[in-house]
Amino acid sequence: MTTKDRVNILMVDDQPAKLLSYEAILAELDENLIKATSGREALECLLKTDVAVVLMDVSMPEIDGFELASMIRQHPRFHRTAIIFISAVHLTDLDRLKGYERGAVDYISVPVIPELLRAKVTVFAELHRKAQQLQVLNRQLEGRVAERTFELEKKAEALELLNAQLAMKNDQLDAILQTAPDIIFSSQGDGSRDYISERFFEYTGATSESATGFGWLEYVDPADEAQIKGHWMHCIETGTPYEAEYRIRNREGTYRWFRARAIPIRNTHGQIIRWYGTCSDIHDSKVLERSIRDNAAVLEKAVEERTEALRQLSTRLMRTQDDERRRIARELHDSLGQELAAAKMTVDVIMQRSTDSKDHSAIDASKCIDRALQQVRTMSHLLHPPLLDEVGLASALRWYLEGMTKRSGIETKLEVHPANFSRLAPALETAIFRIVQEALTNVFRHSKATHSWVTLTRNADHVSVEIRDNGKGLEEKVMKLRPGTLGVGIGGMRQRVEEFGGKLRLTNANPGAIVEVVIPAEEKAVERMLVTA
Amino acid sequence: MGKRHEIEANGDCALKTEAVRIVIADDHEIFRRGLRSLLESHDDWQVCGEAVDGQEAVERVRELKPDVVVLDVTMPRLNGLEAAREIRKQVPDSKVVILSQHEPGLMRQSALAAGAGAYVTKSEVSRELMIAIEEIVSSK
Repeated sequence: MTTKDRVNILMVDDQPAKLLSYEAILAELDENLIKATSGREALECLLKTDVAVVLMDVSMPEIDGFELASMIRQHPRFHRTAIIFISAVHLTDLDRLKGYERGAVDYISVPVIPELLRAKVTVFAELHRKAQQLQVLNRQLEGRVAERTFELEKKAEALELLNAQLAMKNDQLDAILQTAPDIIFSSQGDGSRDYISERFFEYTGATSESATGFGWLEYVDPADEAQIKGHWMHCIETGTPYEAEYRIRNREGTYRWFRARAIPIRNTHGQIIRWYGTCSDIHDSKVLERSIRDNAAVLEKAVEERTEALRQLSTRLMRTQDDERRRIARELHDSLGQELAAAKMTVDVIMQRSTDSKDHSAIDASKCIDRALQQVRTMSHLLHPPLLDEVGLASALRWYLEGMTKRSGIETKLEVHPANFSRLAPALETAIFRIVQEALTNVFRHSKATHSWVTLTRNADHVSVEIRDNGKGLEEKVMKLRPGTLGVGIGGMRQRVEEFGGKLRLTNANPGAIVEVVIPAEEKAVERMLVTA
Repeated sequence: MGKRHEIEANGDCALKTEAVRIVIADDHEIFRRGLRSLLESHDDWQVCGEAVDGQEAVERVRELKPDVVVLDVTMPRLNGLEAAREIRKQVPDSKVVILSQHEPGLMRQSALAAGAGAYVTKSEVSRELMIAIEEIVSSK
C-alpha cells in the first residue's frame, strides 16, 4: 500500500527483548515503529513526532506506565493519543480502572496474543490516520472557506461601490428631471402616463395624482384636446413616434404652445413596454414665427400691389411713349415734310424757268431741301413704324423685313394669313410691329441665325405672330421667362403682350428659337364692313 | 398724246381738243400751286381740277372724268390710297398717279395695289412726274 500514510507507533518498555518481540509482532502492519526504553525517552519522542498509538509497559523503573500516561494526557496535543497498556501484573479490575483514569484506551495482558495486539493497534492506527485525514480535509475546507469569504467580501465591496455610483447617477438624473426646462414624461404601453417631471406641476399648478394616467389632458386647450388625444392613441396603437404641438394652460389660466415628442421602448419580443417623451415650451418662437409669416404675407401683398401698379404705370408709359412718338413722327413727316416738298417743288419750277445755267443757287437750294426731306423721313421712321397707319401691319412688316435683310444679311420671309389681312386697332398694330421688331433685333444680336421667318395669322378671336430663326437657340433661363434673366427686349415684348391680355411663349426648335405671341382680338364689325364694302 | 373722249359742259377747264386733262389733289396749297405750274408747263396738258382731300378728289374725278388724277397719300378725310381705290372702282378710265413723301420701297407696292398706274416720291416730282404721266397717257 503505497498510498497509505504511515503512522508512528511508539513502543515503551524498559526491557529491550520485549520491545523486539512487539516489533516482530507489529512489523507486518507496515507502520513506523519507534522504540523507547524509558518514560523520559518516550516523552522526548512524543514531543518531536506525531504518535498515533503508544504501547507501554505499566511497570517500568523511574516513571511507570501510569505516571507516563497521565503526563501525556496533561498535554493538550496528546488528548486523543491512544495509549495501550501491556502488563503481566496488576490486572485487577481496579488496576484497569486506574489505567483508564490515567488515559488508557485499552489493556493487553501478558502473554500477548500477537493477532490481538495487531488488531488493537490497527484499530487505533486507522483511527489516527482518519483523524489526520480529517484534519487535512478540515484545513483544506477552511482554506476554501477563507478564499470564498475573501471573494465574497470583494464582491460586496464592488457592489457597494456600484450602489454608491448608482445612487449618484440617480441623484443626477433626478436633478436633471427636476431642473430641466422641458417637461419629461413616461407612459405605459397602453399610453397612460406614469411619470411627469416637476416642471409640469410647476407650470400648471396640478397635483401629481391629477396629472398621471390621462389626467394631463385636462390642462390641454380644449381646441387641441380631441385632436392630440386621437393622435396619441394612434401612435400607441401603431408604435410610430409621437410628435404634436398644442397649448397647455398654466397656473394663471393662460395657454402657451408646447411641442411634445415621444418614442416607444420595446422588449426583446418587440412589444412596446414604455414610452418616453419630452414636452417643450415653443410659445415664443411659435408666436414669432407666426408674426413673421403674417408680416411676410402683408409684405408680399404690398409687393404684389406695388408690382401691379408699376406694371400698369409702365404699360401706360409705353402707350404714352408710342402715342407721343406717333404724333411727333406724323408731325415731322406730314407737316414739315409737306412744307419741304412744297418748297422743293417751287424751287424746281423756278429752276426750270431760269435761263441762266450758271446760276447754281436754285440747284443748291433744291439739294438742301432734298437732304432735309431725307432727314425728316429717317427721323420719323425711327420714331414710329412708317405708314403703319396708312398701309396697315402686313405692309409695314414687309417693308421692315426687307430693310432688316438689307442691313443684317439675314434672309427674312413674311407669311400673312389670310392674304387680305384686315386692319387692327392702331395700338395693337403698333404693339405687334414693335414685338416683331424686338424679336428680330434679338435674332440679329444674339442668335447668329442666317434665316428668319415671320408668320402673321388672323383668326376669328385672336391674332397670332410667330418669329422663328435657325440660330443657336435660347438659354433655359430665358425660355422660362424667369424674372431677372430677361433683357429689355424680351421684357418689353412680354409687357406689350400682357397689356393686350395675350400670351408670350419662347421655345427652342433645334436649331433656332421660336417666339410665339397670341393676342385676343375680336374681328370687329367695322373691319368686316371695310373689307366687304 | 392724250385723247379727249367726252366734252364736259360745266368743267372749270376750257375745252381744248387733244389736251390731257389732269386733276390734282394735295392738302398743301403751295404744293398744289407748284404742281399746277409744273404740269401746265407741258403744252398739251391741262390741270382741270384741284382737291384738298381724298373725299373731294373722288368727287372731282367723278364729276370731271379727267385722263389723269395725281393724288398725294397723306390727306385728311380719305387718304390717297383709299381715294385711288374708290376712283378705280367708280371711274376706271381715269388713271391714277400717287405721290408721297415715302421712299418707293415702302409705298410703291401699296400704291400699285390700290390701283395706281405710277408712284412718284414727292422729292422727285419735278424729275419723275412728267415722265410717269407721259408713260401712262401713251399706254392708254
